[in-house]
Amino acid sequence: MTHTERQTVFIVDDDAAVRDSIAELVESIGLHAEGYASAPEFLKAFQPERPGCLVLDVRMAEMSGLVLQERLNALGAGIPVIVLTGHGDVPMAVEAMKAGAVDFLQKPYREQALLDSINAALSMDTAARRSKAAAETFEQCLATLTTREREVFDHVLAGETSKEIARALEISPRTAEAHRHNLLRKFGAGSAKELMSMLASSDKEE
Amino acid sequence: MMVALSVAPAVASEPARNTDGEARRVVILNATDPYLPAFLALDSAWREAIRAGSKAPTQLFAETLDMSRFPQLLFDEDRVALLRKKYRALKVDVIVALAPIALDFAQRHAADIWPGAVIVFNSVPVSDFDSRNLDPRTIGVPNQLDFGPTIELGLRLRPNARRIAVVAGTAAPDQRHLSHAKAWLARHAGELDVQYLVGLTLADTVAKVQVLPKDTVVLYLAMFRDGAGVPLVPRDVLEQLAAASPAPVFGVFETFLGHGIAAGSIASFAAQGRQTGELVVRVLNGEDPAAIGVQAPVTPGCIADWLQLRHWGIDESLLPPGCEVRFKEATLWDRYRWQILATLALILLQTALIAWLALSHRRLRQAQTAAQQEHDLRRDAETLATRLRDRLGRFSREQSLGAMATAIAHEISQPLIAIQNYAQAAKRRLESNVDDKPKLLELYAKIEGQAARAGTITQRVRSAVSTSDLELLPVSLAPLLDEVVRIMEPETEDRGCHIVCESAADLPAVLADALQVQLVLVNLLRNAMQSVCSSEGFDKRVFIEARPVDEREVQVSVMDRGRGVPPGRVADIFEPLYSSVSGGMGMGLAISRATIEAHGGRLWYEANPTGGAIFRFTLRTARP
Repeated sequence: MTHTERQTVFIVDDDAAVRDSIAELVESIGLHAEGYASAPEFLKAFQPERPGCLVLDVRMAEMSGLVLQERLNALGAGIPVIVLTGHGDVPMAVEAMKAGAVDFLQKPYREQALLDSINAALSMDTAARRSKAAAETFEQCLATLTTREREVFDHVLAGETSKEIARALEISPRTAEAHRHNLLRKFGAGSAKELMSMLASSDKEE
Repeated sequence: MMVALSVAPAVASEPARNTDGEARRVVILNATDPYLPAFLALDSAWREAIRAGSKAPTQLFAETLDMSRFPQLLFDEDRVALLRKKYRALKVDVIVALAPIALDFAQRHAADIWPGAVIVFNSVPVSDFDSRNLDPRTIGVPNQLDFGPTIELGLRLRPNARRIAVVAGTAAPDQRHLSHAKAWLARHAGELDVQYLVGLTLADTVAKVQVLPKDTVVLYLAMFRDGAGVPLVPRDVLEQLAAASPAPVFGVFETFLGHGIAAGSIASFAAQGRQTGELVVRVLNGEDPAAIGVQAPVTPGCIADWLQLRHWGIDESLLPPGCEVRFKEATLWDRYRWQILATLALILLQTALIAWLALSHRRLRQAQTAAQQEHDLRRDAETLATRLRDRLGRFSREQSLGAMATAIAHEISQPLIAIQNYAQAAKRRLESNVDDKPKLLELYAKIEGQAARAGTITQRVRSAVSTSDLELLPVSLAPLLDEVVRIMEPETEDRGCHIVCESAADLPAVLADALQVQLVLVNLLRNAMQSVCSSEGFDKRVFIEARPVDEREVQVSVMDRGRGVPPGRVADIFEPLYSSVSGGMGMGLAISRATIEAHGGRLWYEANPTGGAIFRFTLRTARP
C-alpha cells in the first residue's frame, strides 16, 4: 500500500532562513520536511503520490502562493495546503481558503499553531489517501468477479440471504452460497456487513 | 404661301451706265402682297445674300404689283408710265422678279423702264419654262412644286386613307397649282378617290372640308382668291381649313408650316431666296448673265410639323428617312433650352455651393473633432501627468519613507520569524530529552546568524541615510523648494490646501543630496497638510520658509496652524513606529531626522506660537 510511505511537510518560502527554520521546527517534532525556494521549484519536484502537506508563503516574488494553489488544483493534487500570510493580508487569506487551503496563519504566528495545523493537515491527507486506496482496492476486487458473482454481489449488497438470492437467480441455494463465499473472499471481507462498510468508505472518497 | 406677281415699270430717259465705284441698283419686283409670308422669307434671304456678296454699294428698291388683289391688266399702262418716270434718272442693274406674274411684267416692260437691267426671277414653276421664251439676260431660280410627292407623303403617313381632297382658289397661281396637281393625279387615276374643292366661296370650302371623311388626305394648294372673287391670304385660309378639317392637311409651301399642314414635300424659301440673291450678286459683280443661265430649282424635301403629327396621332417613324421635323416644341429642351441650361447651371452652382458648404461644414466638424480630440488628448495627457506627478510624489514618499519603512519592517520580520522558529525547535528538542547536541548547536548557530541578519538590516537602514551614501553637492535651495511645491501640487489641490513658500533673497547654496532633502520636505509637508487640511476649522495654508542662519547654516521651516504636537508627545514623534496619523508607518520623522543629520544638519520640532506645528531643519552652506 502506497500510503505507508513517510509523510513529508513541504515548505515553500522564498526566504531561506524562514524556510529552514520552519523545517527545523517541523523536524523537532519528528516529522520529515523538505524546503523549496519558489513555487516553480516545488512544482517541478512535486509528485502527487507522495503523502504530506504543503506550508506555503502566500507572498512570493516569482509565483504567488495563490497561483501555486491554482496549479495544484488544476493537477488534481489533493495535498492539503497551509497558507502563511503577512500581517494584514486578510483578503489574500480569504482567497487562499477559497482556493482550498485547509488553514492559514498570519505572521507572526505562534509556532504551536503552525505545528497543530501541520498535524491536522497530515491526518487529512492520510485519511484521504486511505479512502482513495480503499476505493481503488474495491474497484480492483470488483473487477475480479465473474458475471454470476457480480449478480450475487448486487443481491448481497441489497441485504438478501443466500436463499433469497438463489430464488431470485433461479439457482440452488448451495450454488448461491458458494458464490457468496467466493466474492467475500475476493474482497477480503468476513461478512456481508463488512463488505457494505468497505463500499461505504470507498464511496466517501469518490 | 407663294404668290404670283407682276411688275409695272415706268419708262425713263437713257440712264447713265454703271461704272466702277458707282452704286449698283436692284429693284425687287414683287407681284404679291408685300406682307405675304413667303415674300418676307424670300426677301430677307436675298437681301442678306446681296449685302454679303456685292462688291459695290448696292441700293435696293421695292415695287409691289399686288396683282392678286388688283387684276394686272387694268393698271398695266399706268404702272409702266409711273415706273418709267420714277426710274428715269437711275441706272438699274438687276430686276428681281418674284413669281410668274412679275416675270411676265418684267419681260414685257423692263427694257422700257430699266433698260439694260438683267432679270433674275424667282418662284416660277419649272413647268412654266415649257411655254416661256427667255432671253439670255433673263436668269433665275425656278421652283419645283411637289404636289405629287406631297400626296404620296400624305398617303404614307395615313396608310388607311382612301381618298384625296384637293383644295384650291381661283386666282392665277391657284389655278396654275391646280393644273400641276391634276396632272399628277391624272397619272395615278384609278388608285385613288379624288375630290376637288375648287371655285367655292371660302365659307363653302370650309364647310365642305368639315364634313370630309376622316380617311381623307387633304391637299391644300393655295387660295389667293375664292370662288366669289374675294382676295385672300392663302396662309390665313389654311388656318381656317385646318381648324375645320377632320383629317390632316398637306401642302407644298414652307410658309404653310406651323399654320395647319401636317407635312409636305417642301422647298425652303430661305434657300431659294439665298440662291436668287447669289445670282444677283454674280451679275452685279460683272458676270455675264448668259453664262450664268437658269439654275436648277431648289430640291424640295420632306418637312413635317411635329405638333400636327401629334395632333393626328401620326407615328413619327412613318416619316421618310431624312424628313425634317419642325416645331418639336414638345421637348421642353427645345423651347426652354437656355432657361433649362441656366436653371441647371444655377442648380449645379447651388449644388456645388451646398456641397462646398457641406464639405466645409464637415471639415469644420472634423477640425472641431480633431480639436476636441486634441483637447481630450491634452487633457488626458495632463491627467496622466498629474497622476504621474502624484505617483512620483507618492513614490518618492513611500519608496524612501513609508514603503521603505514597510520594506524594512518586512526585512526585519523575516529573521525574527526565523529566530523564533529556531528557538522553538531547539526548545522542543531539549524538552524531548533526546540528546542531540550537534543539532542544538546548529540551531543556536542559526539563531545567531538570523540575529546578525537583523542587525545588518538595521545597519543597512541607517547607512541608507548615512553620509557615505549621500551625494552632497552644492544645491540652490530656492529651485529645490519650488520643485517640491510643484510635486505636491496635485495633492495640495486635492486637499484644498495651499503651500506658501518664502525664501530669502540672499539664500546661499547648501551642501545637500537634493533628492533626499526633497523627500524630507515632502514628508514634512504631507504631515502638515494631513494635520490642517483633513479637518475643518484650520488655516489651510502650509508655510515653507528658508533663510540663512549664519555663514555656515541655512534653516528651512515647515509650519502649519493645525493642532500641533501635544507637549507630552514631542519626544515620541521622532521615534520609529510612532505615528499620530493612521495609515502611516511612523518611520517618516525618524528617517527624516536621520537624513538631515546625515547632511550634518539638525531637525527639530517647535510648537507654533500661534497654534500648530513648526518643523525646522538646518543644512550646511556650500561655502568653503
